[in-house]
Amino acid sequence: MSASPKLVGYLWLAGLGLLGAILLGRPEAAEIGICFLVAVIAGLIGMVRPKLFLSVRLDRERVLEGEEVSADLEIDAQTAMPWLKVLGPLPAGLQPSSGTELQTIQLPAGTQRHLAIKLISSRWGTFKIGRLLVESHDRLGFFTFEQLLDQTLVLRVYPREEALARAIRPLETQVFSGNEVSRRIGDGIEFADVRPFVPGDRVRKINWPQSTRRGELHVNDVHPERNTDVVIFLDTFSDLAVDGDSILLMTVRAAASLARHYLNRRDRVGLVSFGGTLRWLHPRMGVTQAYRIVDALLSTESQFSYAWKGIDIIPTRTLPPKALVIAITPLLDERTVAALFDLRGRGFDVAIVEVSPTPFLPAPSGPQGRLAYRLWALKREALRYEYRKAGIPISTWHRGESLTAALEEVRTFRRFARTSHV
Amino acid sequence: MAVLLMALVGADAAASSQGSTRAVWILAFAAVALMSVSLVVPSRRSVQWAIGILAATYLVSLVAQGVSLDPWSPVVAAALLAAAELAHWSIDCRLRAIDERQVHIQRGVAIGAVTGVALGLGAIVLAGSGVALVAGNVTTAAATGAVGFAFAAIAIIAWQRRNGNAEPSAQV
Repeated sequence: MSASPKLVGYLWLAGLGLLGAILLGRPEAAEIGICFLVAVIAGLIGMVRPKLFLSVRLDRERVLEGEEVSADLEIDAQTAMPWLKVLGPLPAGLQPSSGTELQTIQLPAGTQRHLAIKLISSRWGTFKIGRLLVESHDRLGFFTFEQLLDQTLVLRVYPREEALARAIRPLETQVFSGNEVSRRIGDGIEFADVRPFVPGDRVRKINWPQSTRRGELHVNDVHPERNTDVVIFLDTFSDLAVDGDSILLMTVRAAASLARHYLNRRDRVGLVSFGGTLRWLHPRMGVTQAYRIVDALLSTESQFSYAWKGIDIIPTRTLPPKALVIAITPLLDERTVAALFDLRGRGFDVAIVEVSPTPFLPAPSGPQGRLAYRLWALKREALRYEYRKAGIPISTWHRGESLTAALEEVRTFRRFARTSHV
Repeated sequence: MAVLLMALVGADAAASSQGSTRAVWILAFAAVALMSVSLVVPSRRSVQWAIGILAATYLVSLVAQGVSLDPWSPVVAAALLAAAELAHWSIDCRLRAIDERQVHIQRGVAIGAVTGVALGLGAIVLAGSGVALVAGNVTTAAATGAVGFAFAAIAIIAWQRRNGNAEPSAQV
């Protein structure tokens, strides 16, 4: 129980009024004092220690980013509550749909009330909720009884995935059947080439019109449909945030979209979170892997570290041969920059989606600031050139832009560039 | 509403004072300005100060007038209480919350009832002040006792606040 400053103030006014009445010999001062004393006595009479039972539950434990979830609070009042404030302090990223976390209600004795607090998440993540602060006041607000309900409920908010019509095509495919048309020749459907017949070729592959024109047997070559190994490489060394959005939020959204896209195509998808703490998932396929990846992404956070890290610390099985490595990075940390060059040097098919840090930076001020900013931008452009020179396609993904546009840039680069080995 | 009530009380005190009109006007204006500020900021402590200053202004004006008994004093006292209650209500409403209408109705009724009782008691005190029998040592002793009670209550509450207000958490 705590007394409000109002109670202390009223008692002072009452005491001083009565004292003034004695010292000045004026009954008017006593009247003023008595008025405030009456209010205090009314407050004391109306004060009842509240007795209530609380419970809270969520209607769902898993939602998508931006979806609404209802937290049902059950209040069982044993005593009358003329003024009950229910405050649910919420973690950052989760806010009530109504715009306020506070509800004020009154409950007669022996009644039960259900309060539905609609919550909406503005970002993905794992949120621990269920901590409720209930403040019960007397009718005039002299006394406050605070009760805390600490019932841990976990709400998982999955990142909103962008529908991708096409993603990045890998240079190499694997041996299992899939949706990716391989660049190699084999058994499949997609036409590749026409060549002269050699012993061992199947008769059904003979291209009869061509054979008739050329006077000798020719057969069709086709591309097989194979699956691919994709490793999504997240840079979690650094993060910048502005207006509730951050590089890490964008990175994880992109990773979730890409993982879902490739898994739907029956590809094997793995995950490497390269940052202060290294986290990884071996490439696998299927729905289970999709959930594994999303769960791993939910616990992704940026952790600052001075330790130098290279790709040597990544478990070998996480990066299978001929895998397509899609790096989603703001290219702000030297360790990631070096690791991507290293991966390319080891023959991995690397593509970079650069999450542009520019919208998250404050505008440069002063001539020196502007000069420094220009130099920094120039340095970044030089880095992009170095990557392209090494045969690594790189596209810049700006805040508010579609991920598809950024991926299309990588596809265009691949269409016109040749693979180089450095 | 609270500011309006305070302004009315202040204007009445200043208008009826004869000797030191300027000082009373200044004090009344300061009290009303402080109340306005305390509602804007908002600050509960400033509300008490504003009420205290206005009450002092009223008493100063009475002393300056030299009248033995003001017949409107119960109304002034009730107005001061109502102003304080309305100011606190206003500060409570500043919190961004989804409020049930019934909560506000009940509080309004409670404020009205307390102000009414205070007005009635003030009238009784006013009527009692005119009776010569109760004047003298007995009245002084009773008044001193009441003052002692008020300060004891302040001390008890202050002690409770200092020793923490921990309460067991709600039963789940």
